[in-house]
Amino acid sequence: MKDIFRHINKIFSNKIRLGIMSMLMVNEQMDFNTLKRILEVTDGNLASHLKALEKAGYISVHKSFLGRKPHTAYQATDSGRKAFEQHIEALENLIKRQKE
Amino acid sequence: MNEQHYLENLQDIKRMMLRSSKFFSISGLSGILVGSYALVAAWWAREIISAAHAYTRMEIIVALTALAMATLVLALGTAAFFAHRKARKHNESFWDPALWNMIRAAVLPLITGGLFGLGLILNGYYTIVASATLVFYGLSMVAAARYTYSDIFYFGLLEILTGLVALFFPYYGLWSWAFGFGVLHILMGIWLYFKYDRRSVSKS
Repeated sequence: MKDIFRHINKIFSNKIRLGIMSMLMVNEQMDFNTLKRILEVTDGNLASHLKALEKAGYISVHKSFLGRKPHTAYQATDSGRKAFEQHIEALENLIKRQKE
Repeated sequence: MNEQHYLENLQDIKRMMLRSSKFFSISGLSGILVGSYALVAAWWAREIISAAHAYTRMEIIVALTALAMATLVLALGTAAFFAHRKARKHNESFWDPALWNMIRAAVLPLITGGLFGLGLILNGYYTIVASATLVFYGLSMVAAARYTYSDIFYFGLLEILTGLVALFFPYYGLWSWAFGFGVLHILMGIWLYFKYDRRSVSKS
């Protein structure tokens, strides 16, 4: 029984982190403000979740300047993509399992 | 942690992926209006052409090009206005990355087609202008469809098909143009309106 939970990733159990990863899977990169607008969260809240994903090595951060404004873009790393795919697969397996 | 919870997770993932990568604020009403402008423009163009004997060739070309440009600007303005309105009504932002992606995908075939058409006109190949503009427009819609409703893909295919058929009826250029840019836009607008817009209006 433990086995099928192995790929359920604790990091993705949070809705905001799940949302961030979902968006970074289908977009090459996204900036802080767009993520914030779509997820409807506060700056501090979003920043702490991004930090957690960065620490896990699932996303990379790219800081630059657009004119004089700082611009922060986020990108999913290869290991982040892999972990997320495994997480989705595990979710699907669990649902299948419970239906049987 | 139960089945319901996992299912919700998966639905959240799908929703977020779609919301962030596709632009869903294209309005059916704008399609109907844009198509109507095209029909009026086609009728106007026919009037100009039928009075051609009174003017020089250059005057006719300038008049027709100005008419086409005015129609294009009006059409883009209308599409943007209605998309903006729809986005606001659904509390979604208009300047999403998906919109940029869509514009970026559409703009290359669109500009290529415009310059190609201009080149044809300046060289006197009037009979295939309608065909060329329809084909390039269709290609740009097919490219843009990746970032919006998948219905736009089939709309693009129909435009390409219209352009290719028009190639074999060179003296009916204006009719194929009116069909492709007028009738097809109106049909697509009605389709989008009933499939997406009306339902979401009654829900809110």
